[in-house]
Amino acid sequence: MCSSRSLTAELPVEILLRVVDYLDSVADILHLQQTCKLFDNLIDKSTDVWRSYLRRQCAQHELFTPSYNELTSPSDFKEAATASFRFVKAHGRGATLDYMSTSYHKLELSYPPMDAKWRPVPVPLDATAIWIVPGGRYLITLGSHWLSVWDLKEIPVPTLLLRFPIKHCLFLLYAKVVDDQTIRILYEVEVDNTNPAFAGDTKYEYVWLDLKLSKQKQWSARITSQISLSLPVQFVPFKLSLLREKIVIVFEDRRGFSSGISFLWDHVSNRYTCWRADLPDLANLSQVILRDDYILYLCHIKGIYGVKVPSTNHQVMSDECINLWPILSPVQPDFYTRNDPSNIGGDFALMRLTRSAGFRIQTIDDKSFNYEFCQKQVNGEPMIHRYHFSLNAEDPSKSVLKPLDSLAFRGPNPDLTTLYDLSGKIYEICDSSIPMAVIWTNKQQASISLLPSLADTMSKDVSNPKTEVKLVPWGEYVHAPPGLTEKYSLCPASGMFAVLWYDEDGRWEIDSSSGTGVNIYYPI
Amino acid sequence: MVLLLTSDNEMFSVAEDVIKRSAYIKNMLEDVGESDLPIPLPNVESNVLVKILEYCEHYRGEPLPASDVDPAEIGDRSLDIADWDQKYMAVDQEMLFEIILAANYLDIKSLLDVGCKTVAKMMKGKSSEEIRTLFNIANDFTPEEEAQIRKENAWAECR
Repeated sequence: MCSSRSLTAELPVEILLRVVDYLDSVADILHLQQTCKLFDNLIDKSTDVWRSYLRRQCAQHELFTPSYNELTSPSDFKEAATASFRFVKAHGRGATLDYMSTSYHKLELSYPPMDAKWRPVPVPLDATAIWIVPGGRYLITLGSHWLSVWDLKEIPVPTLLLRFPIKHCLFLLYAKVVDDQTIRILYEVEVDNTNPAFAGDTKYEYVWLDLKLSKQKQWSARITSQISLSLPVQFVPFKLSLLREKIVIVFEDRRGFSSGISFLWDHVSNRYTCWRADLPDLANLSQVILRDDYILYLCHIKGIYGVKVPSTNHQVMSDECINLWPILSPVQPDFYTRNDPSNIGGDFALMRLTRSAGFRIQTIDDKSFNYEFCQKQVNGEPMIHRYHFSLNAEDPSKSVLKPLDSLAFRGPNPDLTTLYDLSGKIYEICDSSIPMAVIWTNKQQASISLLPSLADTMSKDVSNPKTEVKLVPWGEYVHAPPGLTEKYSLCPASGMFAVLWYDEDGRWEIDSSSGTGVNIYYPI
Repeated sequence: MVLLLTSDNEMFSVAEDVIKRSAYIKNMLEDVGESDLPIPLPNVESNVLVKILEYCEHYRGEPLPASDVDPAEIGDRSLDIADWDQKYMAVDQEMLFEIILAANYLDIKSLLDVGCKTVAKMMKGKSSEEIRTLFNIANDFTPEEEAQIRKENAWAECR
C-alpha cells in the first residue's frame, strides 16, 4: 500500500491530531512521534495529545479526573498519561531480570501538627478503613469518629482536606468514582449489639455517602441514605452486589441449617424487600450478582441460579431498625444454568474454604458478562478462572455458561510458595496489557509480610486456555509490626499503595507506639 | 435534487436526503433555500465525489448525528470499524486521503472518523521506520536529534 504521496504532506494538522487521538497505546503514539519533526512537534510539544490520552485513561480505568487538575505543561500531561504504562514497563524490566525495579518511599500518615482548622492536636489518627482514590492523588480514611480526605500531592507532606463526622465505620464495603466530581462510598457501621433490645439478634447498619469536589476545589461529604437491619444471630453478611441504585446483600446461615437471607435495597427510593432463596447449593455460594432482571446466585462448582428481581415493596421509615425475620418469604429459583464439572480447573476440594476469594465481573451488555473467579490453591497461589455467561431473555433455562480460560499465578519467590499461608488477596486492573496487581500476604507465626506484585502477562501463553503467569514483585516486602494485621488499598495507575495496620483485639485504636496506623508507599 | 459541481467540472445530481449527510451542504441548503444553481465543490474531484456519494447512499435513512456533538469528543475511541465501512475503506492510500479530506471539507463527521480510524489502525503496532515507509514520511531529523528522541522515549521500548 505504499504511496508516492506523503501522509504529512496530504493531511492538515487538525486531521493528523484526530488520527493520533485514535491511537490507544502509548507505544504507538511514541513511534509516530519519532517518525519526523512534524509529528515530534505535534505530539511532544502539545498538551492536546496527552490531555486527550489521559482523559481516555481516566474513562477506561475509572480514575478520578481531578487528581490531574493542576497539570499545565505538555510534559506534565505526558507524565500523568503515561504513569501506569511507565510503571508497568519498569516492572517489566524487573521481570526479565527477576528483581523488582521500583524503589519505594514510606510515609506514616498522621494528622498535621498544627491543625487550627479542625481541632487541637496531637490526637491519634482515626482509621479503620482506607481507600486510595484511583489516580493516586487522594486518600480517604474512615475511622471511629471521622471520615478524612487527604491530598497526597505534596507527599511526603499530605494535606488534610476534609474531616466529616461519622459513626464508627467497621468496613468499607464499596467505593467508586462516579464522575469527575463525585466519589460514592458504602460502609458498615459498628453497632452495639450488647443492647438488650436486640437479644438474640444482630444489628447491622449500612451507610451510603457521597464525597464531592466542587469546581472551587472544596470537598464536601453527605450521607445520602442509611439503613439498619436486625437478624437472628446466626446470619452474617457474606456477599453483596450493586447495580446502579440497588444493592443486594446475602446473609449466610453460619449454622448451615437454612439457606441464607437475601436483602435488596434501593437506596434512592429507600425501599427494600427480603427473601429466603431455596437453593440446594446455597452453601456453595461464591458470589451474588445483581442484574436488571435477575439476581444470579453463582455457585462456582455447580452453576448459576437465577431469581427474578422482586419488587422492593417496603418503605424504609426513618430511624427504624428493620427486623427481617418476620417478613421473610421463601423464593424458588426461576432457572438454573449448570456448570460442566470439566470446566472447573484447579484444586476445588478447598472450594468451601476459599469461596470468598477474589471476584470480578466484566459487563458486556445487559444480558451477558464475563466473570473471573479467583481461587486459592493448596499452596496458597491464586488461580483465576474466567467464564462467560449470557442470559437468554426469552427462555432463561437456555442461558449459556462456558469457561474462557484459567490462569495460574506462580508466586513471586519460589522459596516462599510452600510457606504456610502465602496468598494473593486482591487483584485489580492495572493496564490493558498487565491486568492485575496482587498483594501477597505471608502469614507466619502471627507475623505478616506484604509483597505487592504484578502479573507478568507477557509470559502468558495465549494459545493455551490453561496457562501459567509469573508474578513479579514491584515493591519490597513490607513487614507488619508484631501482632498486627492489615488492610490495604492500591492504585495501579500511580503504583501507590497504602496499608492500615490494626490490632483486632485492641478494637482498632490507632497508637503509633504499637505500630498501628496508616503507611503509604509511593514510587520514587 | 441538488446539483454539485466538482473541481474537474463534472455535474452531479443528487437526492437531497442523500447529500444532507454532509453538514456543509445541509447548512448551505438551509441558508440558501431552493436553487437551480449547482453548488461548486472546488476541493473535490469527481472520482472522489462518486466514492463519497456511495457512503451517503449506503447510510441514507439513518439518523443524522446531532450537529453539535463531535463523536471524537464523547469518548468513542475504539478502533472497531463496521464491516461495511472496512470494505468501503479498502482503497489505495491516495484515495483514502482524498476521502478523509473530502469528508473534512464536506463536514461528514462519521466518515471523517472512519477515515482517521483506518489510518490509526494502519499505524498500530508498527515501528517508526515501518510507519515512515507505509505513509511515505521523510525522516527529517539529524542523526543527533533522532538519537536524542529515542533516548527520551527509551522507557517505552524495552521490557
